[in-house]
Amino acid sequence: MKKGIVLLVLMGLLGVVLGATAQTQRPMVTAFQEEPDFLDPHRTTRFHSLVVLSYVVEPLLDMDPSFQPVPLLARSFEWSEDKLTLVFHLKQGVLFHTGQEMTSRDVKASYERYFRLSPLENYLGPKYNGITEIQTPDPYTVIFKFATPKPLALYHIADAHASIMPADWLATMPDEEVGVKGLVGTGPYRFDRWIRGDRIVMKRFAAYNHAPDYISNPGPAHAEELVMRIIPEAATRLAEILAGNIDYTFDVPLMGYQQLVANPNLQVYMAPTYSVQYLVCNMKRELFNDRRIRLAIAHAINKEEVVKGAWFGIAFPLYGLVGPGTTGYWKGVEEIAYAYDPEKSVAYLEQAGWTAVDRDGVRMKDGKRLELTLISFSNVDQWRRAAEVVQAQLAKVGIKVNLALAEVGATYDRARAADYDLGIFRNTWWMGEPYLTFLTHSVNIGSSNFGQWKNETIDTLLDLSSNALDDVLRRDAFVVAQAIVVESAVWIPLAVNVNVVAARRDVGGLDELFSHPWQPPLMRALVLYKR
Amino acid sequence: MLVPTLIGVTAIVFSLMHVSGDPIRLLFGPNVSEEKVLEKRAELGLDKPIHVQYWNWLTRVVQGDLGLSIHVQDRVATLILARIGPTLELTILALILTVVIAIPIGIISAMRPYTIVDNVSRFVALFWVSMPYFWLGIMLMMVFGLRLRLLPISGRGGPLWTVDGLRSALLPVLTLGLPPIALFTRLTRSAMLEVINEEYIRTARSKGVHEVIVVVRHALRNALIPVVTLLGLRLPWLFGGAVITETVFAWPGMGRLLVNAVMERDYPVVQGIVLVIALLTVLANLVVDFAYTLIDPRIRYG
Amino acid sequence: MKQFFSSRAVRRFTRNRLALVGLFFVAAVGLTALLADVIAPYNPLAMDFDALLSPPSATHPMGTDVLGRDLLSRVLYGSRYALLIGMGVVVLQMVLGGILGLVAGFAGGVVDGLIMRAVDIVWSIPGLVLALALAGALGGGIGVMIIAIAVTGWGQFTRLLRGQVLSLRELDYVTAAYALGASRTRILFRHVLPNTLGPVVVYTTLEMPAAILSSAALSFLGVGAQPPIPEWGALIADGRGLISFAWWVSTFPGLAIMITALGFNFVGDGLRDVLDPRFERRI
Repeated sequence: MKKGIVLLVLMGLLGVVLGATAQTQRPMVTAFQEEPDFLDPHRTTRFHSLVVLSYVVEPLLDMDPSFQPVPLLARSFEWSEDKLTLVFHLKQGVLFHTGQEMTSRDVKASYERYFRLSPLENYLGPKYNGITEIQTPDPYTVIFKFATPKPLALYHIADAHASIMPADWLATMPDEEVGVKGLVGTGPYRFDRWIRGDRIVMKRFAAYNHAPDYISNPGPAHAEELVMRIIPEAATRLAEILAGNIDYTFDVPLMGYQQLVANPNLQVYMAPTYSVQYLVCNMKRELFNDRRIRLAIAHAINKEEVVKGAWFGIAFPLYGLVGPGTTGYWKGVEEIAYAYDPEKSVAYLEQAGWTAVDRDGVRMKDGKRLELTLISFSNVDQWRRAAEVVQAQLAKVGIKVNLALAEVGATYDRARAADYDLGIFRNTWWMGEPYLTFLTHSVNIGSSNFGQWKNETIDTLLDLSSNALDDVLRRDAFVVAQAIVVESAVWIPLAVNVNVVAARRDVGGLDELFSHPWQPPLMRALVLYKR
Repeated sequence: MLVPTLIGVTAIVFSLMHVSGDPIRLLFGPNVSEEKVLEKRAELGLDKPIHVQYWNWLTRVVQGDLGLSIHVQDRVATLILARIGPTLELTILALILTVVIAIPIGIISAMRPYTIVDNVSRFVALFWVSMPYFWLGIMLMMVFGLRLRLLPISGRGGPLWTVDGLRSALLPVLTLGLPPIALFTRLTRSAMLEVINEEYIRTARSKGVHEVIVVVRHALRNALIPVVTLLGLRLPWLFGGAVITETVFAWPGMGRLLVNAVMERDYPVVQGIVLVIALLTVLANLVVDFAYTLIDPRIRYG
Repeated sequence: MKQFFSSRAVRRFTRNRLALVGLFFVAAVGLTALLADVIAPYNPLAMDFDALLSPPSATHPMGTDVLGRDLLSRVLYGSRYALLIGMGVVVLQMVLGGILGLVAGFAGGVVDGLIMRAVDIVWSIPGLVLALALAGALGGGIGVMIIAIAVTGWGQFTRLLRGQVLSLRELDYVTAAYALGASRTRILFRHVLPNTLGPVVVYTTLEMPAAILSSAALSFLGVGAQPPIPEWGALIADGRGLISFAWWVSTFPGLAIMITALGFNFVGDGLRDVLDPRFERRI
């Protein structure tokens, strides 16, 4: 028994000495922090799932670097005069990974499934008086009939959630097995295998040739094989990047930024994303109905310090609730945002009657301490530190903040129950209008409106910005909505994330990738190559 | 006796998971309307009273169906089957490593109690258990993976019988196997000390049998009994270590699946894994209880 | 009690160098916890945005963390939370597990069966997972953490005390006491408790570092103490990603936790030799 054990250990040591086996052609290796839940475009709500599945499936349209919808699976499209009919002419000869040609039948089947299943779909579908009928007069023509005009329809059609899959294949798959047992689309990579907890492997689709014009490589992709490794632990991911085992990754641990930049074997790129973080006051708490309290908090926040302390300086201060990488962003928010000014903050507090200060330096009024509970997510370092910084900043003006950081589920539950005073949250969406609607429209109280605040002006402006047929009116309404949101000081924008990419020196195509404001996954799949 | 324990375990975990909250909002994220959340909850039967939900789960399990994961939409049995192998790989190798190191140290300590040899052995044994698992893992990774480039940093290189597989398993196995050494050393040492003074060992010694043979042939055999007993008892504990080790080394095992499932409130997956572990542990415990009465016949039940 | 203070036991304990070193470590940590606000050079919560992540120097002997807070002060204050967690967990476990063990041992029969079944049940759920689920259900924070860790580990006290009661019950003098009509309470205080004191002291000493390390594991998984509390586990977990360039952020708290854990483990190991009655009988 014991001899056997010794033998086994010796064999193990021998194995180590022998070293790794030589490999012929290394695949392109990338790393993800989080594992996708499932890769069904119609059902997923997770951002990282959307990124991964966008290598495999495609929607009818795509967004170019200037936020304009451009053809992807569609060759062209035209609106009717009354904006109630949208005709798509499909590209001919686009093949699915099964070898079948993509036709109007597949578009119809996919859209019907999307409307039926998607938890995020709240604009285009029949339930929302959008597309009530899909006609397919011939294999290359799709006609969408709208019940009411939907001015943002093209953006929603360009969203990867509305991707096209083969009708025949969908017919054979139960809903819950799509994206779990397999995934078939028209994209530059075909899904090969998924070793749960470890990696997703994709193989190049050699017949791909229909990339939009803004991408220099029409297809197929350069790398034959793509390995997406799942490495949840930041320290581990950093070590793997430094060791040169990861060709490129968007999930760069920010704390390692300086070290990665200093490493001669790596190249590091960065660009702002559309992922924003903000501080929010719960308006269901009576205290905040006094606008002076909100203003005091807004003026006490030093966004530069938040960025420096929580994001290692690798982020940008955020002035409006819509980020600069988002459609409809209005730069004017920078002028009207409340600047860091602790004296003003103290003055507001004193005006509001919080004049006394106890021996801990906490302000008091009628014998009550100015003590607030702040909730946020404990599982991401950045948010936890942002909460700590905000806590320290508010302490300076005499507001005591107690942190109640918990894992994602617990925090959402608490947010939904409106059981908090302050919160730090994040949201991610590249389309400005639906995004600001999520955050501030009163219909979303109880889900994503964490201000818990119904403001009829904001509601009206947001409805206009989503539904007005006049382009100018729509745009102006959205600008005014952004301004009012900032001025309310219910939502206090903190920081906008930065997409950081670390890549090995021998990976090319990053310059082109970063010419696009948000480096879409399709572009990642097509332009990156190994020298 | 087995069935009530299993029911107890799963009922406790089931209730705990439900107290911790609703999985659907977590699944959908904040941007999905409350209406759709309620719809989904009804679809999965999460709107029913908790005892009804538990009963439904139980009746399906009895029919051999562990259900469907809420979060990743795959069959729970499929998920567990895919992940249990890598975890068993780690835990079994780690146990072997622990025993292979701990028993010699324990013997040496017992042979020369309170000498410098004893102290050094004790220090070596206690050193590993005195730091957090994840810290030990990251340190090993930094030294052997990143600085010296001797071993892969993370991931599972393949099945254990391949070179890549073995190389990638080494650091996680060390991380999992080094900390329990203290416990087993301690046990071996005291068990040896007890046995060494027994009559028959003294007899063997006085007959001029060589010291090493005395230790190996007579003493060790007796000292091994409590060690083996402990091995069975430590199963869930080792599994806790695997949770951390698998996260640090991006190892695709069941521990990480379980932690993620707890965080995502994916009840069916948590229930399935807990059931599997409980099953293994209860079986081990039965064996241990039996061994216990064998070792000390004075103890009886009832 | 007697054996605890007997000069022979003390002599045996002091003969163990490692145990003495351990005692020194434990005393040092205890003193630090008592005097933290006197000896800490800075306010452990004061941030300095001009000195983020500065390496160890004369002004900051252990450097500063990501928010520019003095690490030495944080580590010093952290000793309080470490001891709080360790003691809180051990006391809870001892009370809960101990009482159940005594009841099981004395009552026997159905009660014993039920209690031991409960131990088996808790024992077969991996502790970390139970703690994680509990922390999820109750929310974060040090108090919840203490409860979560304690709930996973009380079973061993139950087993220990029940085992002691059972084996003592079989001893001649206890049987004699029973026969002479001694009450259960009397037997409990005269015979059972003094005899279990040794193993209990050993267990608690060894359980302290285990509890402190468990809290670090929970911090690693994101359900630890609420910031900005400078709990060691949280400090190490926070700094782990920085280890390849700002090594000090997690290394010093790591050393602190190691010294404390080693201290308790050395002492516990030494005490075990002295106090384990089975051991006593043989030598």
